[in-house]
Amino acid sequence: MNTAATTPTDEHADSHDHEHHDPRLAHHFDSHQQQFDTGKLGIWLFLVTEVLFFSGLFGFYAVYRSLHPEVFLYASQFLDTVLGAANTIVLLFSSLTMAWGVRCAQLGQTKGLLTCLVITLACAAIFLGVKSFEYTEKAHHGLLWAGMYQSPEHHEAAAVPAAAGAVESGDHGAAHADDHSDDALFEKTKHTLSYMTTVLWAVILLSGIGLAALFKNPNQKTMAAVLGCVLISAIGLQLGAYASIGYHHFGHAAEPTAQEIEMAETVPAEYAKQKEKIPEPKLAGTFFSVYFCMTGLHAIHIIGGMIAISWLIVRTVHGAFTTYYFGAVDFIGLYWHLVDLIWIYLFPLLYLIN
Amino acid sequence: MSDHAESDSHAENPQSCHVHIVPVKVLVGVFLALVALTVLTVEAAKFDVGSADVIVSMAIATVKASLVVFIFMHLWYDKPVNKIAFFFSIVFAAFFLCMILLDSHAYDDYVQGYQQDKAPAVTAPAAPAPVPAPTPEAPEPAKK
Amino acid sequence: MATVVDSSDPKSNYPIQYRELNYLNCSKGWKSWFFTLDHKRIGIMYLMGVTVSFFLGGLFAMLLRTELLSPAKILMGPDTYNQMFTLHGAIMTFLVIIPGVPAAIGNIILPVMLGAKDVAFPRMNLGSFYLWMFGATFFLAALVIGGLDTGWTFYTPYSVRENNASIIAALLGVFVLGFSSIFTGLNFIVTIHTMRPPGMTWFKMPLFLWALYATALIQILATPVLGITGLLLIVENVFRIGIFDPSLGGDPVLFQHFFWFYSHPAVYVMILPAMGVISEVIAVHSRKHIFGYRFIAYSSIAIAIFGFLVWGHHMFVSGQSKVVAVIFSAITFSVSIPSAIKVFNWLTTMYKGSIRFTTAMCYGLSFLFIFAIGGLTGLFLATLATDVHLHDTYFVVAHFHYVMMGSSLMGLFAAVHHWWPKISGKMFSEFWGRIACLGVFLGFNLTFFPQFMLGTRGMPRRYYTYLPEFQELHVLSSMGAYLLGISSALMVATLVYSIYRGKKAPANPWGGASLEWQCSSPPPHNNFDHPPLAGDPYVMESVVYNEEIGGFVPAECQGDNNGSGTAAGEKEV
Repeated sequence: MNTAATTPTDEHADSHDHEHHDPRLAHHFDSHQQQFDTGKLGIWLFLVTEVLFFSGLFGFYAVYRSLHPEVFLYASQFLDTVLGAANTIVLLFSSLTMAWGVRCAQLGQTKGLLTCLVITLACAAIFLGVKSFEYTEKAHHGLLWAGMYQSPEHHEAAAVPAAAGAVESGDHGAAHADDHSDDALFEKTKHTLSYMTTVLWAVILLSGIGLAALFKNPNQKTMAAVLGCVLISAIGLQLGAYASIGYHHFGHAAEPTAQEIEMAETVPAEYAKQKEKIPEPKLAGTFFSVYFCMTGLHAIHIIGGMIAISWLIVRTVHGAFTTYYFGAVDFIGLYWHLVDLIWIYLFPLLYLIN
Repeated sequence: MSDHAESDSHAENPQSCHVHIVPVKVLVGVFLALVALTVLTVEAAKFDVGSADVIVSMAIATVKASLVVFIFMHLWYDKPVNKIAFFFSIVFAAFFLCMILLDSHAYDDYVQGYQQDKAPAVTAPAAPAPVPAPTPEAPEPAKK
Repeated sequence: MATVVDSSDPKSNYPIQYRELNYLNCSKGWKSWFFTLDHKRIGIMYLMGVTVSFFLGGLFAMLLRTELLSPAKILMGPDTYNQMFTLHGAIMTFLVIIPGVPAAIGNIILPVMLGAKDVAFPRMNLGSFYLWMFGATFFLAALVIGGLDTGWTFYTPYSVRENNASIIAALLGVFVLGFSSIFTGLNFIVTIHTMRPPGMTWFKMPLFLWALYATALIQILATPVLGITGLLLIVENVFRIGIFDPSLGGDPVLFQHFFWFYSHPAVYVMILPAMGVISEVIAVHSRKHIFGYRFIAYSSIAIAIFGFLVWGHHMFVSGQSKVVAVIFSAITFSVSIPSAIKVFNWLTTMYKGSIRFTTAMCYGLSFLFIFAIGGLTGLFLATLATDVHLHDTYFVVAHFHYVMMGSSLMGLFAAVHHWWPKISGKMFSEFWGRIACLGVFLGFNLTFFPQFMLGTRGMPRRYYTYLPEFQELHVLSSMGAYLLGISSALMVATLVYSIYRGKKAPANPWGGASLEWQCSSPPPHNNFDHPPLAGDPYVMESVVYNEEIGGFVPAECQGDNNGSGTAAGEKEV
């Protein structure tokens, strides 16, 4: 979204030279105020398109929930409310630091801005870590989109050897045939999780390389900043993932108290408890289609936001932002808040169906 | 349509940028309010209030969203044109949702009829066992 | 021919007509084009891309019409036929008409008309061009892979099946092209909002800018929904998520809602800029102030807003609920109000003007004729009962070709001829231009008028073969298509010839009063040395014809010695 000249040279507020040579002012603007207003309107219109982009998914949700309310009621029990709520708070906190960062940028406090951006980036990574755990866990239980969905009843069936034939899907049926015990499940979760986090690591690394390639005349400072961003993202990711594993394990302690079970509404326990109450409806997989589409697209936006924030960090390290040129921080901040905003709606819509 | 950024405003010092700066106290306060609302919505979901459930959680989400939009995103202090732009996106998204929702039940009868026609053929000897009700006429919870 | 005032001529008190150094030659090498941030060069690249796509789509149309000369097989089998009409529709819609006026002509003209140096986000502008190229590549891939036979609407369940690489490629193309369109629209809105010159209030903007603004509103608000629809359909094809696929509990009619929520407004993305062009062309070539400026401006916005509320009229027979159908039918009728307001205002603008039948004006008049027919037949289709009869017949085909092909492309052709001297700095041959226009007009009507008759007699659209009694009309239609194709080629040839052999164009050959005629032809890299002062863009008296220059100059430059304007039309005013 940034339109200004990107020369990241450090010229402080003392640049009283001729205004047409101001590298921070693009040639077709008259003043910084005009440049800022233009960018601001641009980013708001971009957010408008984002809202409408997501509205298609909300339409998907609304239509299917109104057509098949029982599916949503049944399937949302498999989503872990505590993890969802924790993630919400992580994202809200990142929103706070982002807003604070914008304030720092407006006041010209470079150090404060850098701190805020780093925390924001770390929170985003933690969010992704938790999400990758949730995805892994869903995949293990066969709770996938409609085309791949496997009824949890298959786990029950698999427990009884005679009913092994009931498992129809080739790839996943085999993986699920013997994982009824919780411990085996955790081993597998950890295993797949390492696989998933590797993928995300690769994404982060590739983005980092791409980002570094994007800068003209990179110097050591640039490289160090990009490397730092990659590290922060990776550590945050692992932190998020292992925190959720730990939480999950805690929820499945050897003798879980009633309170713990209630707190950790996780799949097998909850399913065992409730399957008498709610029979599995047809089309239960549709819920997971909605779930994966919405959270997946949201996660892609998070990754995009992380790249943008890393770019901001590198430019902040170079001291590119001043009291009259901070548009980029503000605009990426607005984008980040919108991503947060969408999650604010996704959380109750997906996790809190009663 | 509001006219902003007219010529008079950018004739002055080109190295200034007038914006509203939100105090830290307000930022932290908003964050705490958001956390409190998150906890509230989780707690509220534990009570079974029937179809009002969605309304309650959506209302809380909207309060949270407004806090983010108006304070974190500075929309409260922003130019009218940005407010209008964002407002219109919500209006259009809502209109889109309303129209497709209004229409999504239009073919319930056909689907039901089709299934009732088909059901006896498949499970004819079984009894007048009710159709497995994949499209129940149950009153769907009021949607957002 | 008169002399052309050069930038090196200090004696002249006329505005500079021609500069040695202009945007076309200020830098050289392929890099200076492919990585340019100059809106004019980007617009030129769009124009070339659109032209190539137009002839590709046109070639398909010729082949289709050839096949339809007889009910038996002539060139291709039914499967190829299906693929060909799909590609014809998809290429013409997504690659030609949608970017035609806004992205190509709008990019070149909008900032100049605003007196700005560039659009608000030049890099994003270049990016959206590359997105366009990227999307076009996906379409080519779909063409090469083969097997795309869903129709350009990608209706489910046709578009959800095995072995669907070409469907996925085409959908990716649509997705990417959607974002290209969004970014262009975003750029235009921001540019119009924040970069107007001193003196240009909203109601002193040329109407072409109003039209582009309304278009950009639609692009911003509707295209994202197309993006998500395309994305969901891709995901449906790859992962089978069961949103649109009935075999997984999906709802195929939901797809139609999603699709038409964009694609109906997209019809106005196609027609609104053309209407804006016509407002300019008719006023300038009639040498008269536009009649009902505010009404035309407001009606552009009204069409944009109404355009959102009518998508359901594509689905009258798709199983949509009766309530919704009635609502959509009623709103569809009301779209005709702003459209008619525009037509009446154009007609009244011409009334007692001094009309010059230049090529651009000829295309403008063709637009009025064709748009009237296209618009009025739309009313038949908006009527619920008639639509049930006419749905999916050639009547619909003829109707939307009259509106989308006839009107939008007439607008594009008018725009190209109107601004050609400004874009290329050369005058084209009016004689050959008019011949081409006549050929396009006759060919177009010959092609599509018989299709109205075919449709009312029950010939369904998209059919490979037909009953023998339809053959005469089909042959007539095919003949028209050939004439249309040849005439379009003649038009392009005339224009290309002018680049090499045309006379140098003066800054203001037609006597327009808006800002783009104030800079030299072709404009310099930065368009204007100083931000120009904008007045009323339709006071044609502010410029008078100058024999010496061969174009129009501001009235105050003409001085007292030369007396009043000497253009043929001036005396009648």
